[in-house]
Amino acid sequence: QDGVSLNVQSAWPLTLPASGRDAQHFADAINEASGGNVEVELYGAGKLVPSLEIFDAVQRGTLDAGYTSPLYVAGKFPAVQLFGGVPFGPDAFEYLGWIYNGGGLDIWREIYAEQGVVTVPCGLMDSEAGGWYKKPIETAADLEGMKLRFAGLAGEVMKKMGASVVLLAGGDIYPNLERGVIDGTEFSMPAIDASVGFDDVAKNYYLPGWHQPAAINELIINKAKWDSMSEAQRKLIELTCRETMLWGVTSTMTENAEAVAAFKENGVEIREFSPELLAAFKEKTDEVMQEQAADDENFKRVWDSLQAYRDQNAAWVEVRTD
Amino acid sequence: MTQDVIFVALMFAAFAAGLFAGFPVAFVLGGVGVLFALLGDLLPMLGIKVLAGSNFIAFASDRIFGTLSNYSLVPMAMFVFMGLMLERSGVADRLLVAMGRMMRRLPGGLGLAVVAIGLVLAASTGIIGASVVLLATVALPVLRRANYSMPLGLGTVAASGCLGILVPPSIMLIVMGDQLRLSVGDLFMAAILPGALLAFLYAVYIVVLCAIRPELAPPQKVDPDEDTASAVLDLVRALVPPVLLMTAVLGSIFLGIASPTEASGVGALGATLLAAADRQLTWQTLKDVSYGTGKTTAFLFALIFGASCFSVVLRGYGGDEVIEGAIQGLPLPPQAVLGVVLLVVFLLGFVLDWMEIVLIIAPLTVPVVVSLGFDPLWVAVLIAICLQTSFLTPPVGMALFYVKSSAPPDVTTLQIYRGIVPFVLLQLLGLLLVWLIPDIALKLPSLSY
Amino acid sequence: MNDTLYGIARTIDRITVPVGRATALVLPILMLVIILNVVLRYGFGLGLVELEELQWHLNALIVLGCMAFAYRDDVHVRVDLFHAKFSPLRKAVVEFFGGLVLLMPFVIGIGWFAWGTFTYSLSIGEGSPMPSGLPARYVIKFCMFAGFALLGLQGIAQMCRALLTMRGAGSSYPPVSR
Ligand code: NA
Ligand code: NA
Repeated sequence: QDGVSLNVQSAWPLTLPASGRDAQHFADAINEASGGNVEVELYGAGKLVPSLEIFDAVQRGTLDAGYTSPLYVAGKFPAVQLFGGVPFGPDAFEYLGWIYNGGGLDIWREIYAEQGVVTVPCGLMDSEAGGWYKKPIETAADLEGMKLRFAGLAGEVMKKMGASVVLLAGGDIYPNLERGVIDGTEFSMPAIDASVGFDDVAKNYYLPGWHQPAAINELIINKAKWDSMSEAQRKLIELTCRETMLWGVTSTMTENAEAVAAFKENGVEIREFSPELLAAFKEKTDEVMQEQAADDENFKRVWDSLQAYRDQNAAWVEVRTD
Repeated sequence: MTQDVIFVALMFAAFAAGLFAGFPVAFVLGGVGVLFALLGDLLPMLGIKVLAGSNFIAFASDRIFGTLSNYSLVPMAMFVFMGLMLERSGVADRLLVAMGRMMRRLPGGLGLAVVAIGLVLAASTGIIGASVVLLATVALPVLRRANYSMPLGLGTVAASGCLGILVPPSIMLIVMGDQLRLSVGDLFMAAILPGALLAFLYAVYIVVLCAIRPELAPPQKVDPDEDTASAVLDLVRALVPPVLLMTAVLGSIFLGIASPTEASGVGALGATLLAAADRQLTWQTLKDVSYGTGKTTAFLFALIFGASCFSVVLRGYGGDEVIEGAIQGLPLPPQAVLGVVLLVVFLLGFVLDWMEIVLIIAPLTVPVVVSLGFDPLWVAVLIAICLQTSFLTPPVGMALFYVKSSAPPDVTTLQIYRGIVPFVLLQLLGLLLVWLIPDIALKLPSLSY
Repeated sequence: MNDTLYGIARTIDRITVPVGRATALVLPILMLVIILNVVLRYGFGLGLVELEELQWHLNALIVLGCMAFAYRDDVHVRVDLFHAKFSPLRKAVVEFFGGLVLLMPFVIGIGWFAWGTFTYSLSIGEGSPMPSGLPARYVIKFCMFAGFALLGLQGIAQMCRALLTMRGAGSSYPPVSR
């Protein structure tokens, strides 16, 4: 089979811990493993198209492939968000179980099939942090009227809690938190939060991140391009992506620990939400999920599949984690 | 690599040809981008392999949508609106009259008044056209009646009217923030002191020059009956509205009450209220200001569209690597590399406007300079000061053009050029000071909470 | 022939100018939306993602609606170094060939893909990626296509005017009125 070359654009800068570095790892790994038979040319965030337009470019075939988050197509396919990260969702281990063995990936691919796009899950991240806050949050009343930057479904949950949820471009989050335009933000894992320097401007760090216990990124490939590849090339991409998940989820462990230690050093209080507050978040999350499922057939289908898988395994998962 | 250099050079040559033919810059950029993208589809037939192709036109389209949906560019329209509305409010005229009365006892007092008003206007509007025209139409006749040296007066008017490009709120800083991925709020903070420094340098220059050569600015006759108290009161009255506006806009960003977008909306409303207070707010005024703002905003965005088309196709021909390689290949220490980049920006400023430089040159060069270990915010401010000079340097200097078009008819272009030289030198001195003392730019952003 | 050229230019102006004026008058509305957003947040602790998204939607509408209008009134930035000294004939030549070789490819290229982006968005009923954001993202995507189409139309109008001048008939028709 002739060699194939793929132009891939990442949704993140290639040096960003986790997401960006995972993209780079995938590119390096496949270029090496294929002996040049699958040649990936990787571009960093915004080099060709804006991160939010990657799906359109791949769908149209102007870009061969993109390395991105399923959360970014929430406006197109609300159901796909559930493959990217779910508030009070499964942990990384269980998430993988559902995607690979519980039918998750099949539905995901079905949704994209009509669009002429093939997805390969290609990055796995452990729990994010629960966010940075100017003031501690003891009770639900503390959230009332608080100005928060929170994305996606978790943003809806915060809105239901009475917080004032705002949109901010990536680069504006830090200065606006610094000056108090917002009172708090969810962001990412400690290693990434450290690179932004949030610990200098907010002193309450909440762990763990209920809004996203695990996250998955995807490699999306134009269907015509995918079909033009040999069975072996496609298999190699899938295997390399599985390896990238393993590499990615373990690559940030030490950095996260170091970052948390550095935060403490810098006078940051590492806090946990109270059980009552978590219960309230959970209750609102269920409401949000019901509403989304009522609005969108596919969302309901994916949500039901995930719930069924979790119920099926509950007896074991609960014992395992205790 | 050599092949890349050839195509990059060809693209810039095509750009320059369209540019100097005088066709609108936005369309030259976009058109050259599209043509070279199409060329990329044909080159393989000649056995030349390039990344660029017609799919890059789709990338350009995606990038244009990205620009349209960019929340942080919304303040541009509002700051333009604010500037045009402020022009209608009579604030500038009253300021000049009041300040002139206060300062005529000082050597070069009227000149100082012009600088002070330029600074106040700069801090209350985001575009410069308005303040240069205002100063030229209002101040030049006064300066002439006072037998002021024309070159000195023209230079003072042009330079002071341009302060608004650097002093926030500023359209240029918003576009720079977008292109260089810096926070607009931080850029605003970082530009305040350098802007004030330039005004201070102008003032010192005028005072010293007029002390040495009093004939340049003859002392004013002061009416012995004049009531000093009423003059002071007039000045305070004239100062209150713009200072309130300035505080509302910059203060709210500085104190963390508002994001730049929110502040711009507040500023636009404030200027509208000032116009209303001055009984200038009619349906006709609202229409004129809206039409003018709509067209200005459209041409600013069209430039961003054209530039993003041009630069993504340039990337398809390896343009990034060519420029990066050229800068990194300079056998110079980092400080000197920065100096070379600033020199290039300064020289390009003679023939290009700030927009072409911010949209095409800055995104190619600044990341390379920053990778040498400089603070991106500081580099951005240095470039902003450099770009400020592009307004004053002939043959293409927007301020010169505005001054010429609103000056009395017997003012010659040569007089304007002669008057502007010292002020360009003062700006370079300001640039040098911010280079030597980075805190002038970086202190305020680090203080603001 | 000359009358036809003039007629085309006039007809196009009758579309682009009212569109430009109407969208420019969205500016005071944008201002009020921002103020409303500020008041709700600080006065009532209410942050509405819809309102923030509405701000960039309105801004985009203004920009796209005014691009052609701005070209008709010759507001787009040019480098005047030589152009200012050109004779009317030479300026017309620049405008005609610039329109043909630069503006038209740009507008057709971007418009083509913008149309594709719009139809795709419409076919999947795209909304905001934020759950409580504005629905119907395809509306603003259509505006992007329409804005470039209008700019292309205005390009044709300006080329017609340039042709009139090149044919020596420029002065026999009323100039563009602002
Ligand atoms: Na300003
Ligand atoms: Na210049």
